[in-house]
Amino acid sequence: MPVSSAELLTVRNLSVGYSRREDVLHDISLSINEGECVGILGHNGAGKTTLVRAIAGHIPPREGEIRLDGQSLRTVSSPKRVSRGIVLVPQGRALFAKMSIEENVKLGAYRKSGQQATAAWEEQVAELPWFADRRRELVGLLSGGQQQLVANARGIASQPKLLMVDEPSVGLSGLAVSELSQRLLRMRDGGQTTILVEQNLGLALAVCDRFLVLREGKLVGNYTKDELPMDGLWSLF
Amino acid sequence: MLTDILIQGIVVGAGWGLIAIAFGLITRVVGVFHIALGGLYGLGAYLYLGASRDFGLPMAIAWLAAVLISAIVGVLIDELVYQRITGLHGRRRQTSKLVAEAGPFVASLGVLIVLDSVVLLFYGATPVGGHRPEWGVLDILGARMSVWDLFKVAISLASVVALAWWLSSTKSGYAARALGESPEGASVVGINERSIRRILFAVTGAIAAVAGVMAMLSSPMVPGSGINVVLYAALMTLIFPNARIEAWWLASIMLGVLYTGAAVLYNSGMAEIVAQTVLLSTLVVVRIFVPQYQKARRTSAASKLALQAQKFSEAEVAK
Repeated sequence: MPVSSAELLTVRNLSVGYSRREDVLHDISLSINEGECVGILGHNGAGKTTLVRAIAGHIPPREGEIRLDGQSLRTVSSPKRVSRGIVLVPQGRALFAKMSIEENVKLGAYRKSGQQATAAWEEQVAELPWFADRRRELVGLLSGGQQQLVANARGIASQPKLLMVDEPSVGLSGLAVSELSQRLLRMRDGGQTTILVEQNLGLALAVCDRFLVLREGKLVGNYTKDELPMDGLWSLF
Repeated sequence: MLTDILIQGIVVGAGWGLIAIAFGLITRVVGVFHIALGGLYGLGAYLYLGASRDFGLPMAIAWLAAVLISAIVGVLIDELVYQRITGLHGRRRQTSKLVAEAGPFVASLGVLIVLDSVVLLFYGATPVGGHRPEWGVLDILGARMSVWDLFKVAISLASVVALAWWLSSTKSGYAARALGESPEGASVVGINERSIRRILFAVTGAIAAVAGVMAMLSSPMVPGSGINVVLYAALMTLIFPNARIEAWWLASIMLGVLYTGAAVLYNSGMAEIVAQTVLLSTLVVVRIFVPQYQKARRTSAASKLALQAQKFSEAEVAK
């Protein structure tokens, strides 16, 4: 599906900090169009996770504004942002380990009706048929790669306008990363607007159309795939 | 005599079972050792007494009023005390680890003392209550059981069945389980933690009041009676931290039978010693042996998964 020119997410002059003394993000401004897959790159501690957590409403901004479809999210709580269509698949996945695959995926559609949750589950089974065979299996007993696929499925279950996936490849084998990459590509081709926070450049390059580079909490680069200087890529960080 | 002990034990355990499921549920979902439930147990009982004796309300209305007020107080304890201490209000998780972990427990003890003291202030330390409804007596296997006692067991059983159904079959029940599993996961799927906590603290406050009123109608009560019951519940939660709520309830019934047996054969003092000793020694034994068992199970599951992963990799390489 082609990228639309309609702006979905707008971030203006965003500053975020965990303590009163120091900001982690400084004056970040960016925009993301419908259907885009945007990779956020940067070293550890650059502020990538903080940025997506702030967009999801888990950390209140100190300054600046976040808008979805032109509407300010300043007073919108984190659970309500899920209803508005902003969903985060966090680093470490935060799955419900003692609940089944089916329960996890259906909880992804928690803000929807019961029928929509069932439809979301069936959609995910169509995408990953092994879900159906192992529907009652506890998520805590799955491998890391399988858990990441469940986490993605849980994220998509609410049919988000914007899906943010934070470091999905951490701790996964090459095979699992390959399977994950295929899944993310299918999502992108299906028109899912996605922000991918990733240190695995191979995965990010395979999936994303555009890249934002963060360094020490500042946005220092905004490149399309063609503009990205492949030779000196690491020097960007 | 054995049947008598069994029946009376079930009746006693049914009351304790209510507190056990309420206490266990709060511990499991919210992670707070809600000792103040003992205070709500006493508050509910004395509110009933005040409504029925001082205001002359019919039994059902007085009971309902006690339950409703206790539910509201339960929610207020969470909103005004626990949530403030753990930093759920305003900027989250800004509280130090020590305060976030120990704070609610210590505060809960404080709330228990406040609630018991308020009751003491109004009603004094003289035992009151014990006017059980005269609804007749049944003959069960040669033993006598009052209809009132049967009613108590039925209420307790209905409560545990309703709570188990809520947890396994409703959207908010799923959300409560999810919150207990992973607060971060609950947050990312859009579960409103404060709404779920409101439901939980209201329901458990109401359950504590139901248990308190049943206890007051069964035998005379003094302020501070809830501490023993909540201590039993706390020990059972520590012994079976991952159990289903039905298991906590059944354990309470067994404890009730044990207690009643000791009380009939010796006296109530001996019954307290037996009940507490059995719970404490079980806790010690379980803590010594169960972690090894769990570790063995985890190792076994991990080995199985590793074997599967190895076979899968080999198959991929072969391709």
